Amino acid sequence: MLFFALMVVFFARRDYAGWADVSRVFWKPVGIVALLRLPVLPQPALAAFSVAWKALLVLSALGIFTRISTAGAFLLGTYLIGIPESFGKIHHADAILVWAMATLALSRSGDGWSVDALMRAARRPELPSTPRSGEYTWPIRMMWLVMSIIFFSAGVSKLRHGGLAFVTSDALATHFIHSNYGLGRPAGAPLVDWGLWFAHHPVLCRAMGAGSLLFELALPLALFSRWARRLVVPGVFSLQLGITFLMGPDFLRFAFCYLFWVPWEKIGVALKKSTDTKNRHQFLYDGSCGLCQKTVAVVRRLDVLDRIVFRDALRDWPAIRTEFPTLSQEACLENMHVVTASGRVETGFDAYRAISWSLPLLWPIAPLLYVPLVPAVGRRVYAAVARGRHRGGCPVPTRSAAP
Amino acid sequence: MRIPRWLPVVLFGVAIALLWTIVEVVAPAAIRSAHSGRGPLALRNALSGRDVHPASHYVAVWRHRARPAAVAVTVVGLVAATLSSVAVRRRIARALVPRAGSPAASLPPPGRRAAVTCLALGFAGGSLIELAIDPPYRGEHWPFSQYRMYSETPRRSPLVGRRLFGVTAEDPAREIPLQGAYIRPFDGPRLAISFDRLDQAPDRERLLTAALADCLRRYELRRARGAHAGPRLEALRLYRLTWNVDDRASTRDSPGKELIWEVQASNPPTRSR
Repeated sequence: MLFFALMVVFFARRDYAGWADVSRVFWKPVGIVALLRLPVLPQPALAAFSVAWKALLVLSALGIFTRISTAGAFLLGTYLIGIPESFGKIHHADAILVWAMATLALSRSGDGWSVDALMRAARRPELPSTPRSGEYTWPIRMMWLVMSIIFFSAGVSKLRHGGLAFVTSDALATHFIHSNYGLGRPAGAPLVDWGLWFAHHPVLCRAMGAGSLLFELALPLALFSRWARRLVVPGVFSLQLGITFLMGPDFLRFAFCYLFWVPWEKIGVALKKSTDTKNRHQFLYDGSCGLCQKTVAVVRRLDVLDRIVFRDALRDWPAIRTEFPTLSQEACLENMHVVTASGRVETGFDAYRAISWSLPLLWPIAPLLYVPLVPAVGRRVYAAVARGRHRGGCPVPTRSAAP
Repeated sequence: MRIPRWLPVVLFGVAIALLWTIVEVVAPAAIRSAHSGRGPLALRNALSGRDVHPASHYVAVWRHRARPAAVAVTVVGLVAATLSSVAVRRRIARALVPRAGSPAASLPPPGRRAAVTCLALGFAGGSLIELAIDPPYRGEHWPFSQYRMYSETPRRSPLVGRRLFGVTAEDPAREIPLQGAYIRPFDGPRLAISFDRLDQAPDRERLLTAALADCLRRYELRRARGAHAGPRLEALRLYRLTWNVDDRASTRDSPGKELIWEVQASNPPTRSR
């Protein structure tokens, strides 16, 4: 989700249609473009492909029709990214995106945080959120493999073409100086001119060269060793950051792939642990109502930080009554209730508004629920849906199911 | 007979030492000897053109080819030697088994496992082949690559590059470097490397004329659309710029300029596509 969101932001303003207007004297197809004899389509077709690709990236980021949208994003993306590569220079930071899109197209990435997952939860509330399966770990390992081989190849290429000269000679110092020659290096100016200072300190340059080479060659160790992951991955990230700062070429789109090294599960667990269990909202719902169960399944999916305690007002009523003596069971079954951490009771639309602040995934829309007229419309819609549920086979139980 | 534990390690050490002695000492000595007309006939015959090249050339070629192979053999040998240890094998096996307390993760269905394996093997195999064949720059089999950026040892000075300049339709005319929005959809490196290729092509005159005319046409088209705020151009010039590099980059704005090609806007040639 995050990877595709970054892709959307990065490629949103990229113009691919312009390549249709470039003379064929510049055209020299490479790799898969040459193998499949992919043509440069006419301008309207390229523009349409470009729009379609960006739309598919947005759908992939939101997780809507994820399997189809990620597969489409991979196919169109490979073509659109491949076309410019055949006009002059291959940008090495692009190919990894193709591999990442291929990996995600083959994965079940939509089972996690996605609109698809929310809709599935609404349709089948009884299903567990995401079962523990190799389905959800192989894409991460695949991207580890991709990055490891890329960096390892870069290290081997340096040894092959220059031997240890990258470390023992002034090669890096020369790169630093050339990078500050403006037009001399069309890849873009470095962010700072500190490279010139480093170039005057050959020992530092050689140490940096040795460090770079070592990190590149050692990244495959990160596939197997937790310690290597902690040390080498930040090392290669710093290396690319250093290139951008001191030499110019940017690895921004390459950097998207570092997301796969972030231990999201551990971060999630740590965040959940940091959540004060006493400051959680109580979500009281009618457990006998299908619509309420669907709502609960969706809210559970959104509750990534465990900020909400879900309680069935039918089955858990004795405990709820003890804890909140001012509440009545009939009211809780009639309308959804949320008892906030501060003890305030909100019902219906206001209950949704209260929990929206507890769910980070809803923070973007939470302020909208306070816009004038929205609460009035929201309360009416909630009332209409609640009335509808009673008419549509979800009658309000008249008494507690508990003894 | 029971093989002592240390024996494979010692044998490995001896073999690697032997390998590197051959690569670094024996073979270069044999090459030098053959170059001066001594040694085996086959080796002397292999050094074709030894009247032209010095012995150091053949030694350099040998080292360029033999060192990567020796490094690969050393790495493979190191892995094999490490895996010959029972303790290491046991530790790896232990690491691969899920911990007792952790919930077991189910495997994807066989069909998907096969697809994932194909993807992983396809990428790894393709990348390693690319690394082994080491195709020339721009001859890579994209999206595979051996990622050879910064792999060659650069010469400090001079720094040379082909760059495009526009001649403004003003009085007096100015020359402005064409980069950024002026050359879209190209970026600087793509355009520069394209001109490197075109300038070295057998029919360079036709190609450069077409290429410059195309750049000028797109520049003016985008200017008319408001895609950039550059001045109107009456000509485009391709220069070979040469910088005498100094350590403080003080000569960055004063390169030597040698005109390679020029196209006038008043008489644009026919496009070649």
